[in-house]
Amino acid sequence: MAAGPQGAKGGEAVFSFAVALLGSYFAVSALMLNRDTGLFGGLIGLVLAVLATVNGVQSLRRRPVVADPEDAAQTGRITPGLAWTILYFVLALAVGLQWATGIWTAIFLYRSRVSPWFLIGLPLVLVALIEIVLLRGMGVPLFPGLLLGGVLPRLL
Amino acid sequence: MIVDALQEILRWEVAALILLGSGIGYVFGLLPGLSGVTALALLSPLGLFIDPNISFYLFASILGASVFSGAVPAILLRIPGTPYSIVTMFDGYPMAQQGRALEALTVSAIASMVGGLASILFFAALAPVARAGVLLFGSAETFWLVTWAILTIPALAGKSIIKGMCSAFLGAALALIGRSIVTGEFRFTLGTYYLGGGLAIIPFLAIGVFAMSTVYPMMAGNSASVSRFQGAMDWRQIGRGIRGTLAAPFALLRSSAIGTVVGAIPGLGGVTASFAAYASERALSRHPASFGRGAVRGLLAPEAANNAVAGGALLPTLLLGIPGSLEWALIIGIFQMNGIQPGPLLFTDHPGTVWGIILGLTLSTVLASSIGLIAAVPLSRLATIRFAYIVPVILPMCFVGAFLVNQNILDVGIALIGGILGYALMRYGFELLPFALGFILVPIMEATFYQTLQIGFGGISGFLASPVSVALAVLCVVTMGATPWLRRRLS
Repeated sequence: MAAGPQGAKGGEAVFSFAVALLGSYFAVSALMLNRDTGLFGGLIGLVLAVLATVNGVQSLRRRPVVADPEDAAQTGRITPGLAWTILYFVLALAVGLQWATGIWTAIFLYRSRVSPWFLIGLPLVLVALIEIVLLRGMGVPLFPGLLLGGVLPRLL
Repeated sequence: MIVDALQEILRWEVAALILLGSGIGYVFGLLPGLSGVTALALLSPLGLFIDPNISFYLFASILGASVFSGAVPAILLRIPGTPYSIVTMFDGYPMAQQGRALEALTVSAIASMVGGLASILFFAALAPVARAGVLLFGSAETFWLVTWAILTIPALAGKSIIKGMCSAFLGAALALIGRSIVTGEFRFTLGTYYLGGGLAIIPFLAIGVFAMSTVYPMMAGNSASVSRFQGAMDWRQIGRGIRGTLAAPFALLRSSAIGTVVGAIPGLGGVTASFAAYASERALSRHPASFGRGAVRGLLAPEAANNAVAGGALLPTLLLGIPGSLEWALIIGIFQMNGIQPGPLLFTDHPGTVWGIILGLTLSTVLASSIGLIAAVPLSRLATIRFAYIVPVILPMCFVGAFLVNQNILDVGIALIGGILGYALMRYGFELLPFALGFILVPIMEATFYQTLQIGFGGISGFLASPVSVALAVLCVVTMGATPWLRRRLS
């Protein structure tokens, strides 16, 4: 009945997303700080959030998934439909937040007017490369994240 | 300088520290679930109370002795005392089952001694030459070196690149909490006064992430029920062990060389060295089928290799300031507490420390191997102690150690949180070495980044101002590109 490999029970995904949130906290907090105080923490938080999200998604995909809803109810496992709904929701939120943070970091750094091409390029290139290469490599569509990433900065 | 260090070890305090460290390292290597890392983490607060000029003898001795002693329960009881001893079981335990336990212990002791001493000699010979080279290191070169370490080592350590990098960046992020070393402003403190000082290395990293994370899983289980080894001293077996080991000098040297090289590459560690040496000897053997059935070469290869790792790891740790293993990450933390920064300038600023570490490691390797051999049979019973008796001893030690550093009760809370974090990291397959690497190296990376930026008047010119920094920048790009290939080769 089990369609996926046995073992992980979702704890790793929860831990990974908690780490991703911590990374996002660092990235967002960095925006409130002076550039020199917040630059390293912001960039590291950004990359941490991306990496932890990717790991969380990977661990969700490794999670035992059963096709039969009754079996799922009995064993406490998840059906593919529910699993993918949660996955897309979390992905859209996490990726969107990270793109938003990346764009806002870039604007923030641009306004500080010190070595703009170097400092602006770095977070965007990092975020774009890691997310596009890794997530596309995993076969995950990036549209929800890109959409939210485009919308959130305007809302903020 | 080596003469000064030799004179130093004649002092009774230093001799006592080496003896104490060797004893503690030996016992922690034997005890199930514990290792040299736990011993170093628990005793790290002592680094603040013992004279910093001699405290490293204690820590180097713990490290040197714990690697060897892990082999004793692996051979006698099929319980690897440390992760490094897993390969030792392949041929060590079959030898013990064949009634050749003391022969196996002798082979292990001599191979450990040769491996350890060969790698330390290699470092001691290379150090004066390398010293001239490392003096070329300025802020830009250090920045690139640290960047290389943070980007490539986590990718090599463990089963998953993403988890390795995640672990390193998590450590890096947590290291940035507190007052900025560039501007002096507070950051990421959640508005609390306590976090303004940052997460201290001893309560959070050493005692929390390393020591308490080991204790938590012990609370949930008990040690495996194994029968106690019964044996007596048999000098004929010891003689056979000595002859068997010395009959394979090239195997000893090959395995020592593998261990030294693997140790010099941060992130790979003793387990990789043991497997590589074992596989190499098996491939070169005329009787590969005898491996796994009590072959002397199958035992001496991993033992020589995993003991050579400690000496090999001296190279990145002391010369470059990049911890070669978990144990060295902790020792670097203890150095930093005492205002000593391992790295290119250590040889000029603290030459006595370098030679003291070399001598401490050498003496503890010899002590653990020789005295440990005689006491191995009675002491091996320690490996059968139930966790229920270990936890009540270790846990209060963690609390006291965390409190002692700043005499602040909040540090105990931070150690508890660090323990939960360390346990979660281990539980979900995140390596601890990249975490420690990020935690220790990112503040250096940040400081050198801003120093270099100032040198280049706010631009990137300072980052590529010298041939060494250009070479290191290229190294970063090349090794990052080659990491997937390297991982495939290593696996």
